[in-house]
Amino acid sequence: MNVDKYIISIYNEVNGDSAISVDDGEKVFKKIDQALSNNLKVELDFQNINLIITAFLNAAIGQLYSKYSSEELNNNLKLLNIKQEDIPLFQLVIERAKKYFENPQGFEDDVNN
Amino acid sequence: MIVIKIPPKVCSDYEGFSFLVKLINYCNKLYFNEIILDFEANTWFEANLTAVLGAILDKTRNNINNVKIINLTNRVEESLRKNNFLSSYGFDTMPDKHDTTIKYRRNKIEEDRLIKEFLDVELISKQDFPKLSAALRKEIIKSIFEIYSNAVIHGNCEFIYSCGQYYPSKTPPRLDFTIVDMGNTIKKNVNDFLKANQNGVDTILGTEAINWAVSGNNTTKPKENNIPGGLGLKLIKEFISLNKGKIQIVSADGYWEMNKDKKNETKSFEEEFPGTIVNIEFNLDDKDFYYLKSETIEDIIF
Repeated sequence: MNVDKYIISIYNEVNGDSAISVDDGEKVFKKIDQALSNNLKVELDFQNINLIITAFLNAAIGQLYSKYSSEELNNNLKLLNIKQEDIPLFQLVIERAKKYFENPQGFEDDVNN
Repeated sequence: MIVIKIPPKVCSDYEGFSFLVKLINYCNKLYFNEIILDFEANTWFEANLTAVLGAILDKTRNNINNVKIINLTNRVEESLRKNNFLSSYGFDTMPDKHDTTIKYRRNKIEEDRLIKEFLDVELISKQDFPKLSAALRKEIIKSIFEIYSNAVIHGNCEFIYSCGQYYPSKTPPRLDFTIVDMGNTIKKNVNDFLKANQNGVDTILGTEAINWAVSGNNTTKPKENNIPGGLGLKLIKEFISLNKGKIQIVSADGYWEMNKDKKNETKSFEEEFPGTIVNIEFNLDDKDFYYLKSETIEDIIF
């Protein structure tokens, strides 16, 4: 293996400045998953991204918690060039995904009652 | 030939949506007919609602009916020509000199990038459109896309209809943007998700289902797809209440509204709308910035 780090340009993946589609999020998730499962570190670069919605982040990042722990992600996944005003959105998506995958059934029961 | 009289005023309120729910239920029963929409008595039709009318009339035309629109007053005709709605009904388009419309569109669900480019153009380049702060414009586009994305994920339908109208003479000036899908209703999705269907009857009412869907982090996304959800509407509600705008949702027999005083109101219709309508009213006289609250904005920790 010649590289130990895989860089994903979100601008390139979504073909523009807007990360708004679930399909694009799913595509990014698969790339991250493929790299992490091959013991590569991953850098997600959000340079030039001006619009992000939760549907994209749930698919691209939230979904990672179905397979990886926080520790694994902290060690192996790096997020670059996120605009300051978008940071809370990432935090919300991560917080929700963690709760969701810690105990999916319990979480649903919790929110349904 | 069947003539349907349009009422004097059709606004983005419970009465306006009630009329549209009745209209689709009436039209749904018609096949192989000549249907005339007679606007003679109508002096006010809020142009953003052409997103709903367009969805209804498309469905009606698909049932092998011809649809004609007649007797429009000058004012209504102008506004519906300017937003291109009437282009499919034998009228020419008309330039929007005062930049008050966000054009009527029917998009396939995969065209989200095109819509983003379209919205950018519609919200930035118009000279007479109010100068929105970058933060407000971004939040408006984000809200529209969260709703659009909800329709794509949950509606399971072919097209999404949208239209926006800027009302400069209202106090405060407002932008209404309406998004419609004719797919699964919120009532059906929530009843299926919570397994509340008993003997073929959905036991959760339309209003209760919408209330559930807009509360907390609830989502009807199937768990097996492993993608968490339920944040989009929550974020829009937070933004709209700061912005002192309004959100209205119509789905099946349920009507839900959150108004500028953050009060929720629910009502039922006698019949069901076979899809979901979301209308968001943005207050454009708003100089604040809308960054989400965050305790730490230094770093993102997984």
